[in-house]
Amino acid sequence: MSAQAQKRASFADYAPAATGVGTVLAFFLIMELLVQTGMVNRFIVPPPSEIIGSFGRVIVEEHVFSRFLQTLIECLTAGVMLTVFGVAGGVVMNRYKLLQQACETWVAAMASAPIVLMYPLFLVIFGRSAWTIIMMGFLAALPPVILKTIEGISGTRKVLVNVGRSFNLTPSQQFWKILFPAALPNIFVGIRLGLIFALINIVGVEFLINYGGLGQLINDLAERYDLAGTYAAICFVILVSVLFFMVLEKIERWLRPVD
Amino acid sequence: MKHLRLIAGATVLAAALAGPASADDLIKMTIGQRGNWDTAITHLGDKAGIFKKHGLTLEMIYTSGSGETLQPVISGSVDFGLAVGTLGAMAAYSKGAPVRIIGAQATGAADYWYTKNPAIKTLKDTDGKTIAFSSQGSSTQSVVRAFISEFKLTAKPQATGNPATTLTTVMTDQVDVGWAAPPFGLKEIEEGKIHIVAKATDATLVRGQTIRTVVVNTAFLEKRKDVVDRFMKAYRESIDYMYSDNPQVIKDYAEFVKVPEAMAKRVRDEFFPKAIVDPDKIVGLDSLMEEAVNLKFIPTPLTKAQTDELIQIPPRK
Repeated sequence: MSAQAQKRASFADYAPAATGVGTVLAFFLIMELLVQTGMVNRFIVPPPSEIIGSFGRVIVEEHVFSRFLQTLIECLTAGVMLTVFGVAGGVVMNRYKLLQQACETWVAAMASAPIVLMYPLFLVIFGRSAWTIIMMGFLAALPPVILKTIEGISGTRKVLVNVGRSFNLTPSQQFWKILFPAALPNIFVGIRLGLIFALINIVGVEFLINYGGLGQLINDLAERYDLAGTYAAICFVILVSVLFFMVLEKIERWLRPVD
Repeated sequence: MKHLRLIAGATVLAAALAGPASADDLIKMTIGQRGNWDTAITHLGDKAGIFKKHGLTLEMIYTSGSGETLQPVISGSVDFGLAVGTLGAMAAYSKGAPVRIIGAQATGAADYWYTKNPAIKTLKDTDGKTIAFSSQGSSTQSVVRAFISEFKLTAKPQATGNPATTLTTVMTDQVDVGWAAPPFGLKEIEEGKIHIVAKATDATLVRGQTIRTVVVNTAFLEKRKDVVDRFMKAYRESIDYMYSDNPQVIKDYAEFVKVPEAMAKRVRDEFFPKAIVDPDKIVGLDSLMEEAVNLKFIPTPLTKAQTDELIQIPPRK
């Protein structure tokens, strides 16, 4: 490969990331300008420079890393649970058509239910512990994983299923070698959606019941009218989300190396 | 017929020339925690026609906490904020937010602490037990700290959120002593499910502290000082009315919070002495300032000049 082609290839590799970072920076610059010129009220949205300046304080004084870790572990636990139970649920529902016909609408309806409002019930069942938060995140995130798994498996191309049959594959082999790999893209879409729901609910419940994590920190800082600190803490929530999506992307590439 | 037409024409002409009827001044406000006796002052005064008498029409929006109440005042979406935590108001002011305190909303607190455990009768019995407060930096946390310090307790404070979630945690044995603000929990007390262990005013420190305030947007205060003065006049009159022997106020409050009249009367007579809602003075500033610094609401205590600028209570006339 010529040096010029190599240079072009490496630019192509970094271009998306560079564009992403550039867009964020441009957004911050525009916000800074709007706030500094008074077009956006600085007592509602603090200037990004102030938010960046508050990071050190939030990290040192508010023990943000232990809170970050707590939220991360809660999300990870909910994520693992929703992957295992969501995918298994989708597979079972797809396998037993009566079950699918009976429950699919209910599962879809559950996706739009405001489960977060049921936190007093969860407090009774799981106590005032991280399990209340994890279970609420898990349940709220379950429907998209189940539905996308069903969609992925039932959408497998007929020709692939027929190939499996022609090789006399057992039902188990048919599932692991044909249906599951074919359904993976949809399953990952479901997990991604599920993780978004889980994270929103986990941080929301931490905020509501004042139990550790970044949600509680956001509540505390907002009550103290520390706007810059509040937005800095929200940035850490975004960081949790970014970490999860990066890990998920790696897992997806590992499971589907062909793509 | 000709006369009738003439009269009708004259009436239409007179109506057209008369112009619009003189309108009251509209005040928009956020109020924390709907249903408490101390946050019902504007509702009850308005229902009794007191604000109308002073040429004021109120638009009341209830919120669930101090931060939610304060933010719209700062942004100018509403003019007044009622039941804003004193520490929160100090924090906002110290960061340059356009907000001023124009009255005390609660000096001392009517909050009470309860349990379902018959062995816990007084605060002394809470040693080694868990005792609830709402959230970090809240007034209930200050009360619990005051309890522990004044009564030399070894109770373990625990954040449990709002009165409803706190009751759940107490009834399911996750916390020994919960907190509530009346009328919440009175039904359970009357049914014998829980009993009162202490009231916030049992702590000397709390009795002498203004924990919540009435705030106004600075621009509104500067441009419409007469409206602010009239509002505070009507607010004071409303308080006098609420503590008068007029039975209508108890009827209105009972209807407002959907409780029996006897319970509504109990809320006022047992939990809210008139001194709690006295708006004329912010008291306990020194201890409040110390607390504000300790809880990181403000980096350093406000100076005398800053305090004077922040607190601008229209004098009683």
